[in-house]
Amino acid sequence: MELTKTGLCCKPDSMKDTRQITPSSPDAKALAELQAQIRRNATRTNIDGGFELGWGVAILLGGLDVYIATAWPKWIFASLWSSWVTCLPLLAMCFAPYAIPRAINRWITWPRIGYAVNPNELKLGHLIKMLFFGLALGESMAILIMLGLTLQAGWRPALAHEGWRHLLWQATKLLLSVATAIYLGRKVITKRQPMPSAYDASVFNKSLAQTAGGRRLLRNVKLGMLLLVIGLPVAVTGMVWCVIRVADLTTVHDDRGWRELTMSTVIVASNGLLYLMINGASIRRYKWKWLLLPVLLIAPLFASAIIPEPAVNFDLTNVRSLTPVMIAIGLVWFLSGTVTLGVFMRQNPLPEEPAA
Amino acid sequence: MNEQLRAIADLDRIIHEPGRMMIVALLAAVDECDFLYLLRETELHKGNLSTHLSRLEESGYINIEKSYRGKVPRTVVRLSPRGRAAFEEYRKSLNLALVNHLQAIIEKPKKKNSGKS
Repeated sequence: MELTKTGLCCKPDSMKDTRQITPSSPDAKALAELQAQIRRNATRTNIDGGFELGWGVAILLGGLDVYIATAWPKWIFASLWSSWVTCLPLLAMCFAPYAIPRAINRWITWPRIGYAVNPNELKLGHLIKMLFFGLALGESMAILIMLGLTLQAGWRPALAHEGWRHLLWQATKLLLSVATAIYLGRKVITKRQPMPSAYDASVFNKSLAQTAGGRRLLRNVKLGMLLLVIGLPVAVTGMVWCVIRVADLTTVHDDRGWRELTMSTVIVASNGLLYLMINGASIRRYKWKWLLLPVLLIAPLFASAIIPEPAVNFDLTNVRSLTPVMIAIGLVWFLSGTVTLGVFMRQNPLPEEPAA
Repeated sequence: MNEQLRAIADLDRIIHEPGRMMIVALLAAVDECDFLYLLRETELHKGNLSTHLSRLEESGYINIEKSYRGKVPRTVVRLSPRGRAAFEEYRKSLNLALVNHLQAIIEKPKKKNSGKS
């Protein structure tokens, strides 16, 4: 057995850790430097709070829409020419996550820290296609459910009640919406460009798979990734569900049904995860965001007690109980975005002399 | 010359220079960017950055577009298809060199053990 000196103690040569050797090689150093440079653009994600502001405004508009609906004057609904105005908040909700970050980039961020376009950035044309795809898909499903219910009741009474014309019209609508959904779906659902990286996974995988130890390492890495992708959302959702359930039973609401409870849980947990994902790069710079994460998860519990549910005439029980939750989440996003933008502007003043 | 040294010797000299490597790596991660962005991210001096950009443009690796926004000059830089291909090749060469190096380290103790026995 040959002994190797490692500081003050000795260990067998076969126990030498290769990971301590590789970083000193020139190619490893060059690759590490290359990786650091390639990932620099990713560290600018949400550096100005633009996404948080856009998303916060969208959720706030979604939550406030039912309240706004009760405030519209009656004459607006009297004519088709005026009733479209009531759709404006929802339209603004759809475009806010796109338009607000773009405007902040254009007028605040780019003049301060330079202009750079991300390859995976959402384009306006793509967003419009996505909206129409969603509408076509929703319409297809609604008609399918309606036709299913009609046929379940028996097609003869349905024919006698509705007539051939109505059924034909529904079938035509279904055909058109399915065709639109398929056509737009092929354009909208595309594979995203992979995150740029200096390391070539295929080269490493091939070389590691040649040895038993390498194969074990690969297996463990894959298992770890799977646990992270599935385990983390499940853990967060479970935690939020338990907290909401306990809060419901003790203080805030004891009349909330399972459906409302599940919907609230999904909305809160998905927003918590999104908050973590979006701020993954900037949270090192803005450490106070760690404090806002529990606020985002807990605030909706108290919102139900503080914010009154809207008084609507039509039956929207599920949506009505969700509105305070959405308003609370939207406010936290908005607050986080505003503070981030303020800090960013203070830390990055406009350059006195414009670059060439 | 062993495999590892050959892989390093074959590297593209235009990209391998540290300043230019930073610029090309930054450009590979974006569709396009301006001079201010490169200046901030590379932390090079304006003169240095201009020289490296000129060298890369001469080699056909980048496209430079000069314009004005109001009275402010604006230089937009993007990687050309040739530059992207060269960077991809450079990245692969480095990966290959590192893999060869790793394999050499893994193989070394085996050879020693087999030599003794």
